[in-house]
Amino acid sequence: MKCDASWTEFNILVDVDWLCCVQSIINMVKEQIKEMAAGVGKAYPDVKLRVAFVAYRDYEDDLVTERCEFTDHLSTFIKALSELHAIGGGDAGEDVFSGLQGIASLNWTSQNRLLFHIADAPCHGRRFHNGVSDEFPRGDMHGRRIEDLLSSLRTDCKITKYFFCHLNKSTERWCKSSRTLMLKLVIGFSTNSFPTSTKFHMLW
Amino acid sequence: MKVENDKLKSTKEAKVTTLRKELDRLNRENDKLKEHKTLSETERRRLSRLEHQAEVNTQKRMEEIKKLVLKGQTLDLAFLVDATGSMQVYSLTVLKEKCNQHE
Repeated sequence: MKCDASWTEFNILVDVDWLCCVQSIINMVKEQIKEMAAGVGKAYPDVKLRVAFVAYRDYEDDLVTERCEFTDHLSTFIKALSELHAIGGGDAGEDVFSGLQGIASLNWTSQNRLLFHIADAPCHGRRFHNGVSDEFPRGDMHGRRIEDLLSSLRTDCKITKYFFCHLNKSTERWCKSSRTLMLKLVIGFSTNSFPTSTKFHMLW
Repeated sequence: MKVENDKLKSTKEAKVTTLRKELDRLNRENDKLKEHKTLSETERRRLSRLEHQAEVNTQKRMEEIKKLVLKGQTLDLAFLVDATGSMQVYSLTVLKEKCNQHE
């Protein structure tokens, strides 16, 4: 992990170690998240760090979302994260929108606000993927719009940076569509003006 | 003799008058000096008040800057994680996929 900081801005580049060992992706992600959170705390001891997570599944699952509200106690966060299990999901498309809503409902208060999204599947809706199995090809069953959700994260929650981590190719179109929408809607910049990472894709 | 006495008397009176005038002048000067001294003290007090106010303002501004710096050093770090069953597969699959991409 590489961190660069100025007085008011934090740029964090995370390089997931894919060769970590043979373990489930969710455990690998959990370990990486723990390392990232602890790494930021170590790299910037003066920074008042708060961490949170929202996990999402799919419409038919008992627990569509699980969350840990922002806490400055890393141990609380790690404990909650350790209790997270990867279950359900059904078809390939997932209820990403509920996850985004969960993120929007977190208590964001700090000056610098970063979001890391880690997923191996796109959200529902044909326009967000290249033909994975999707029981809701017309989009979200609750009629929520990705434009509204992303706009809310950017303008209401004032999230400084949104990084998306691709675990496979199926999320590339989702990410690209969201990024284009976001840039058109809120930022109004050309997509070429933003640097991209092969593994972590910056949505804004 | 009488004429001489009158002459001395008038000279003495003239001297007394001159001295009185001089005394009056000195008294006026003294009053002016006293007045000036009072004004200076007022001015000093005003300056002192201004200096104190400036010090208070500087302290206040320093507190504000300190708060801004501390606020700038706060970070909310959130993770949005897909927790569906597909995330339970072993990362070896991911590793293979990555290797295939590089071939």
